[in-house]
Amino acid sequence: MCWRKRTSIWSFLASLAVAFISAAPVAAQYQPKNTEWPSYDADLAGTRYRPLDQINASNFKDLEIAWRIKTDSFGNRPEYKLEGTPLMVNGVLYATAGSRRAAIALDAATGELLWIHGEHEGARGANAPRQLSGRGLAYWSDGKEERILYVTPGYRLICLNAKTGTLIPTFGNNGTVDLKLDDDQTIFPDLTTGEIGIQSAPVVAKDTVIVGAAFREGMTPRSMKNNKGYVRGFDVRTGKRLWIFHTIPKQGEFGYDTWLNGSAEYTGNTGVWTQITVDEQLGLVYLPVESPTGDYYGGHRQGNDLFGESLVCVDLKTGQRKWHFQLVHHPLWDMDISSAPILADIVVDGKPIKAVAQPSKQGFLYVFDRVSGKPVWPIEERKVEVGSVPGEWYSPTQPFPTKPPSYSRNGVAEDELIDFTPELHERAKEIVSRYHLGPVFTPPVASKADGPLGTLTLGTASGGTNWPGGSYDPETHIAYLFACNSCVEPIGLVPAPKEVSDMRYVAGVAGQEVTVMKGPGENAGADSPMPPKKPAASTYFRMNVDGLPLIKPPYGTITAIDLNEGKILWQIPHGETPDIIRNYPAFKGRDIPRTGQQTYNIGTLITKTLVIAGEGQVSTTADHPRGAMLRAYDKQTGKEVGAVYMPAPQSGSPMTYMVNGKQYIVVAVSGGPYSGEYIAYSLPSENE
Amino acid sequence: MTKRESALSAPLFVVAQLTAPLFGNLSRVLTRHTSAYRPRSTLRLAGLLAITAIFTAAYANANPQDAAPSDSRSVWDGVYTEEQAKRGEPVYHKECAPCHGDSLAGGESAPPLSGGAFLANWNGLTLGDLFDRIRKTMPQNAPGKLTRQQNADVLAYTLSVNKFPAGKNELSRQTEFLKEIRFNSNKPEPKKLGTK
Repeated sequence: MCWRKRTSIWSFLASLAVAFISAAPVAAQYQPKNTEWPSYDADLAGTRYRPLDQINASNFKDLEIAWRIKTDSFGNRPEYKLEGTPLMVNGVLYATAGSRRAAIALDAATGELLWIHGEHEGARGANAPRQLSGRGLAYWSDGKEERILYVTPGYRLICLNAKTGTLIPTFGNNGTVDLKLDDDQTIFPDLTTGEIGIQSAPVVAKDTVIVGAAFREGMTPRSMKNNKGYVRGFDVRTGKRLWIFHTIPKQGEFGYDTWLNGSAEYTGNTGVWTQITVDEQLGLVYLPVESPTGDYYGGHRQGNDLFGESLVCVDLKTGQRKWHFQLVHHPLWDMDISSAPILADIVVDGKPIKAVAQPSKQGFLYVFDRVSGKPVWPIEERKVEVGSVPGEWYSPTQPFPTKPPSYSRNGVAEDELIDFTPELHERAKEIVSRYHLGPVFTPPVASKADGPLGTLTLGTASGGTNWPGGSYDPETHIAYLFACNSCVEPIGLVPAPKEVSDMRYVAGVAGQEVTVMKGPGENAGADSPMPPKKPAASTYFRMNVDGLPLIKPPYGTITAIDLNEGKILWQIPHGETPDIIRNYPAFKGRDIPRTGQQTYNIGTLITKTLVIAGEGQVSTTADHPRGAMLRAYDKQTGKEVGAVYMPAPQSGSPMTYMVNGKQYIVVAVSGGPYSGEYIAYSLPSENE
Repeated sequence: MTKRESALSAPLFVVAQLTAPLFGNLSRVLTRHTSAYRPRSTLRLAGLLAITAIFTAAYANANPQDAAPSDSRSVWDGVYTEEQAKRGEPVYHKECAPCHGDSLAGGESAPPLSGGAFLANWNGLTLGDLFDRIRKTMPQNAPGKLTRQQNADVLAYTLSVNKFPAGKNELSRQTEFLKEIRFNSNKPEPKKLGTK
């Protein structure tokens, strides 16, 4: 008996050892002492995924602030729109920060400032179309040297020694490449004021740095002519230009004839302002291209306008186009392609496919074979409404993915209007009665004072998934996408006053003076003097009822999509029900399910078991003081498993890493009265 | 940079504020650290008072309407005049609309100044907070360009677009005065006489 017992103990210990040994490689794979976040999206595949699990469902609520850093001093004024996601390599955290868009390095465990680099660009910075701290930077190493690369507001590529923050003298011109030069076009009117820049992070793949371009907001362009947003690859060692891809083809190049009447010559924009992804093994780069000049009016660029709003695959070594797919023909809705394509190795009907999945503002997830460009599930050309704006050209059809189903609203119908009470519903109906309504791809209308004032759209400028993009788990093949499900955009067109633009139509409302929309901090008097202003008509067309959103909940959602099946697994509202709804007198005593929030710039982070995302709006509840919550959901079910307090809304997407056996989550917060701050959370020591 | 601050975990926050015995524990902690040179009882009282003050401040923050003195004003009390809003309108259109839009709906890179997101951003704070944010950081390309009076007028115009009622007195251009006016997104229910 005794002997047998001993045997059983030994066999138990042996099996334990076996279990431990067999589990060891897995543990080593998933819980290394140091786990890095070396690229803006965690990796070049755009996953925003790290398989860490020290912070999990059981302890998320216990998170404490490990360290924090305000960004006020990284510029001559504070910034209230901190959008960065830091990188973490080798125990050092790198980020862009402050109104100067400084590059900073911090000790990843303590937050201690190691170095800072700022570029004082004077008038060139002040004239930049995309200012403030930007979204981040890129890291490169050959095993010996380490470099940090980022683009300044004035559109210069900066290369720094990652250890010291000093410029690399052998890169470009003493550490700098002027991106307004050597661009196969002459940036007009001059290098100081010429409109072109970028706010996203460059990417580095196999010693090539890839940089896109961004412009002013495109609703009220000053001209049908603008600089073009080409994409270039540079040698990370020397700064030498290796290749260029013409997002608007030059004469003789493929796609030139999709711009009628020679409009490819003068039309601009069409840049890649969001994150680029790369498959280093295949040597392929995926470029999400934005709208051409004139977000809502394309009468001066008739035709399909390639590669506007197209996903383009180019060769990493040469920049040569391999394939492309235009998501929107002749773009008229500012749909852009606003976020990083996601690389996903999936299995469909038993067949492995190297796929690329593209989230969008219009709530479609477009999935392609990333080698051939062929849609994984059919994408059908379907007839859409043809509009009647004078001079406009319309594509009679648009592509509709058949799978997966759309994951956020992309059209406005009366039954989607607020319906907490019949009275609110009636008031919402009255507001929308002055607009043209319809499903996705309902075109803009010329605004008339007696109606329609415009086309009321959802899933356009600020709908669906915007620049923060989605997340993807390469083990389960599930994508997680935040979407604004209620961001309505009225799109009306008015004849452009000559002093404002040479376009025939720009965005506006009949009876109101046209205001030229600008990017952040853009110099108000830069190029063309503004016309003298008289008070605009005092009628305002509010897209809310008593401050309540016009559209019914959920206002913002996170959706899990199985990419093997092309189906939605779950969808949840993300974000506390806004104060104005919880405290609305007529709803007193009513149990309103969580509504989520009407915000468009929320990024998700996924770990081994959690989906993590902060709120984009402030609330004050019985459970927490004025602030926003960083929330964690079970990846399998979407059920919330914990939340931790932030003093301000999430304004940049969260990231995670492990240093010396401790997992951290870092998130950028700012907005309203709260200036930018990076906050690092970790578990209290006893929980590790 | 501050190291290891407690991240206010929601339920814990309320529990900590409302559980009276905890005050005793915390004051004991304070006592332990400083008892070498002060009488214990005084310190315990000081600790309790300090904690009570923190409690009151935090609770006031969480429930501004409940904790504000009954005579404190909010944006619902007619704190600007129609004439002032009219003065602010052209200033808004010249200096603010290029980023925040003609209808205050915001742009791709500037937050809305009307509707739910705007109300959520400022709910629970004061007009002084909003005024100073505008005064010190706007317009973004030339902060401080507008005079205090212009800023107050623009603020009045913003309140009018958000349908907060106008009244007989103009909005002050002094931050201290504006700090006395609460920004509450929800209209308070009519006060009932004889009840608290």
